[in-house]
Amino acid sequence: MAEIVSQCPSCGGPLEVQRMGCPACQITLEGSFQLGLLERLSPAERQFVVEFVKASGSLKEMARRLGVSYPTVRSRLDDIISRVERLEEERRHEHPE
Amino acid sequence: MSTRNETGPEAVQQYLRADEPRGWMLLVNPFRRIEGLRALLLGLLVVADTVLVAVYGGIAYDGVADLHVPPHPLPPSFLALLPVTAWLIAAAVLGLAGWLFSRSRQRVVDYLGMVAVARFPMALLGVLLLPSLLGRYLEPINRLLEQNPPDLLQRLLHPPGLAALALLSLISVILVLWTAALTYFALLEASGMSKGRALVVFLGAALVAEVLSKLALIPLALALGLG
Repeated sequence: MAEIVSQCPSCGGPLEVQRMGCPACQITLEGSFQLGLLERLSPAERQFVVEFVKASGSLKEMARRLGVSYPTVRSRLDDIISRVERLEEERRHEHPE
Repeated sequence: MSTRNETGPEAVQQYLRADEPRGWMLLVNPFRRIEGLRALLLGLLVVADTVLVAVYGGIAYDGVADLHVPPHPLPPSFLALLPVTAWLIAAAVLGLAGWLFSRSRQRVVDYLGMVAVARFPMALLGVLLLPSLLGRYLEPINRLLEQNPPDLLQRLLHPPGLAALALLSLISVILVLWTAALTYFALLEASGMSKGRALVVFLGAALVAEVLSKLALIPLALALGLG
């Protein structure tokens, strides 16, 4: 199964889902569906989050499992936190309460 | 829109390693490889080396990124305490600065270990300044300062072994700058701050640590009865 991408390869803008289908009953839904925060991360960033959860949120354990250093893992986690915060901010601007 | 599945632990490893320093950058930022307990153990070796060099070479490590060869011999116990004090003050001040200005997860062991490892060029400079090595070129200058002749300035401008002294000065400047760069990257990696913020915080913290390490000389001297 291919991975979803969240940015337009042409202009870099955020993509939205316009069509979804159920492979079991063949129902197709069309509309404007927003990607969740995690789907808007890159595949590597999403996989980082998965590994982080699997390591029970322990940076030390994650570093040990992946064979990298603690500061390397911590630095990427900080990058992802900043990115998630930026995405949340963008979402607030796109859809104010 | 979809793309080929390129995820998995290997993809995360690649993603993580893309951010690590390589090549000559490892000379100033080895702290993605030397961190945690490993940094502390290596750092303790560096500190032990500075203590030995201080005691046997009569060298005073009385600052964060500087050292002096005093013209008059100082007690070995005082000289031995100086590098340990300077290291602990630098680690404490940088750690406090990191705690105040970074919101990232931080570990005390990184500050203690990385700051000690960052003192490696100072340890190297101390070895070079041993009297049996380049330190012998400083002896005539120390003798002059002790004698304090009327034409002291003139004679200091043309000391014996001028070329060796110039070389020693150049090496000293390079090693001091190397120490400063290593200490900056120690703060960057231990605190997880952004590079720009870490630079500003480093400049302030280094100044505070330098002043505190000089002020610490007074209670140290009093505690050892040096009045």
